[in-house]
Amino acid sequence: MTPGFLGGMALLATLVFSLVGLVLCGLAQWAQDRRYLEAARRVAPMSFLAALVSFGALEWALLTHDFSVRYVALHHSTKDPLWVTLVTPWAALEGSILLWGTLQTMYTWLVSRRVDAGGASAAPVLDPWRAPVALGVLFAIQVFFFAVMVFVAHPFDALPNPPADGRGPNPLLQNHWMMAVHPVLMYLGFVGLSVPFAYALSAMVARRFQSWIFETRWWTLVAWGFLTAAIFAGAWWSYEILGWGGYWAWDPVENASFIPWLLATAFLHTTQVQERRGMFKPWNFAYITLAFAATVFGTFLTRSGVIQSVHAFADGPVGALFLVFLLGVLGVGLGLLSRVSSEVRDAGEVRWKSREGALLAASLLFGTMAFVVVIGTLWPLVVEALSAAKVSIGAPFFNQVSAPVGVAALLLMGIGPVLPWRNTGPQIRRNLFILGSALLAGTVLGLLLRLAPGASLSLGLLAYNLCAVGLMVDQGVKERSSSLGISRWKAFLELASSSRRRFGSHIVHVGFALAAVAIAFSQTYRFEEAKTLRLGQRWQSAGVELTLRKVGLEEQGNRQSVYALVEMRAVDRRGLWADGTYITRLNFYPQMGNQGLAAPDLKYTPYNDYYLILQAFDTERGEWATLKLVVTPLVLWLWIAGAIMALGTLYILWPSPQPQRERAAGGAPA
Amino acid sequence: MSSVARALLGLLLALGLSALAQPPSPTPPPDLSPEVFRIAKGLRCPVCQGESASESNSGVAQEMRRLIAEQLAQGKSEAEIRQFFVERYGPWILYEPPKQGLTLWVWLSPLIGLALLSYGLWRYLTATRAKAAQGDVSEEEIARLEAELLPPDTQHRTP
Repeated sequence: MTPGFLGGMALLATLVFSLVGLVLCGLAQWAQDRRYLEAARRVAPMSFLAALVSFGALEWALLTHDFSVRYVALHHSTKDPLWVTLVTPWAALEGSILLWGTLQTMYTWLVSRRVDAGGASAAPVLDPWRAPVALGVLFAIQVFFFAVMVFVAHPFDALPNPPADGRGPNPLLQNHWMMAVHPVLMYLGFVGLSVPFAYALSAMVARRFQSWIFETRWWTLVAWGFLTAAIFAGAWWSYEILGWGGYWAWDPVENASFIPWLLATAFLHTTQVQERRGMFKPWNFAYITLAFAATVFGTFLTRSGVIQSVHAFADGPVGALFLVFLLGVLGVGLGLLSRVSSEVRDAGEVRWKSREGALLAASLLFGTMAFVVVIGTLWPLVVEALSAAKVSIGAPFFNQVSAPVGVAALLLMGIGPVLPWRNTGPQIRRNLFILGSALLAGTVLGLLLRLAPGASLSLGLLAYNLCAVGLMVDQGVKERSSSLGISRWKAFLELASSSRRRFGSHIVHVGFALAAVAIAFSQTYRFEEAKTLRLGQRWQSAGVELTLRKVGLEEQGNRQSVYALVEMRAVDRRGLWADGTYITRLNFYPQMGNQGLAAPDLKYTPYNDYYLILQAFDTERGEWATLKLVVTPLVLWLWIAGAIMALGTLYILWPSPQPQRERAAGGAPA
Repeated sequence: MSSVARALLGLLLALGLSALAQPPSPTPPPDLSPEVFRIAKGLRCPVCQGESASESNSGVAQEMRRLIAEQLAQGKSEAEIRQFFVERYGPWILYEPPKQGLTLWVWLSPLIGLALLSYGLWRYLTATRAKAAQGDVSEEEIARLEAELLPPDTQHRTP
């Protein structure tokens, strides 16, 4: 048996299992018979296993250099290091769809374990009214992905005349180990959104509009956490490797990953209103449909070739299929919503000056930003269609429009959680005064330090948000210690372990405010300059002095690496902690011909990052090298902020030691 | 001839670098000030996929940076330099779309988005308030609530 044969059969088996699952779910729904549901529940692990076998077969083909498989011949070479071989399944179109599909079967299997099978499972949270639809939707998504693979983008297509060696994956993808992390996190987040989407559809079909929000809380947070981690990981990757010293370029595909995050964030905030006040049901249905559709939209953008991007894989029929799928998702989600819209009308009054008012306003901001990113990404196509003119919409535009939205979000983030539900109380004046003072103090301090207005404001907003968290924790601790008669410290520990959602969201919010500071400073004070140095020549710039010591060449496995050895030392305060020896490289891969791929050297410090790129070199005698120096402040804090946000999410999701108490307090039945 | 030079020549031969991305002659590229990169950041690299002339290391982007440095040295203003590139490549070269014509809409998109969503929210909140003021529950809703409160087994046929 060959890996290609095994993989092809496993793919087909997954498609069949998915179809069987879908049909069984349909029968369960139509005949209202639990036996079909039970059977469908049992099909889910089988499709997961079959998909795993298929994925394993692709790894097997890669590890054994089976070039009779077209995918292996095109994207693998015998010289690839082991880790590159292991991550090659998601280095190109067919394999990345396989990864997506496999993760989808995993989520379907996890959901199937939640189905109430008549008291068999310990904590059933998917009742038999909605289970057929929820599982059916997930099976239907699986059917789409595996049908695309079986009929259009087959990862195990055979090559009649296999070559002796392949071309290897795109060099850009093998230049950094983040390739092993970022795409998987992204897909875990994208696919994770399918679960709340499926629950939402089932809720609309079964006309049970409330409980799905509680039941998918865990799933939504998991997906959101993965999306957040993936976006930061991707930003860090591009900072380390793309060789321009930036972390976010508003590239169409970066945008495509940002849109689901924005909509999922909006959804996460409005679900709180539904949980607490039973309101906003139609908006939640709409938001989750749009968030899931946005993940498909991103795939459509990358796979269709309609938009130029550094991430684009290929054009072909796959893009068109994803467009159809996208329209299907939107049609079903919004169609169902319009069908039940007369029933989901909520009753109640919302005051703007209340927790729910702030949550709604936050969701408005995130929704607006998602709208702007969609329009900005697609508008060049619209302009071209309407006037045949070509325009570009890039970073300068997005930076300008996102700044005010970000400031508004940061302002809301501080005041929102301090406000009580339903109505403001008398203590709000005092809180507002404290928060306003913190904001003012931080901003004025920044201005006194002669910082730019934007950077100063970001400092003020960080102080304001830290202060808000302090106020909330202080209030909670006071209440608890006086009502239970325990010490403040003990009350704090109890609060932190029992209200994980509150504490976790505080942590995430602090991370967000810190990220805003890092972004404001790194965007405002980024410095870059390029200069050609001869061996031994010194160059003073941005508070550092560079000396070019050596230009050399190394053979590294499947690539040739030209490097420049540079000594750097600080000459004034601006060059704090810059001292060191830097080796910056240009890597030459056989697939890329004479186009070198930069592997910059950089030093992270708590203050400035020193980033050195080799841009050109003397090919004849190695006597000079052109170096680009990029000095950017506080970028390190962006990665710390990302880690804080991910840890905050993890803190919420971490299984609670006191499930009873949590549930009684309206906590997470996750 | 130093060993470095020999190694680099070896690299040239091994890769067939007859036309390097860097100029093959030993003339180094010009020095570029922060101002050059700042201007280049607003210009698209015409042969790249979604990269600016400041970031890309392609030949065209290098040439663009050289042109910017040259024109700055001649004392041209940023606007004049941008105009130079627009005349060469069309408005497509600018990463910041003009605030006129069809691309004005993009600049207005935050306001449009916010207005649309706010209008939707306002309509929704007015409806919910009206419904809350009405205060009564329709028979249909009571029936549905009762159905929801019954245990599943009474509705579903069990094997």
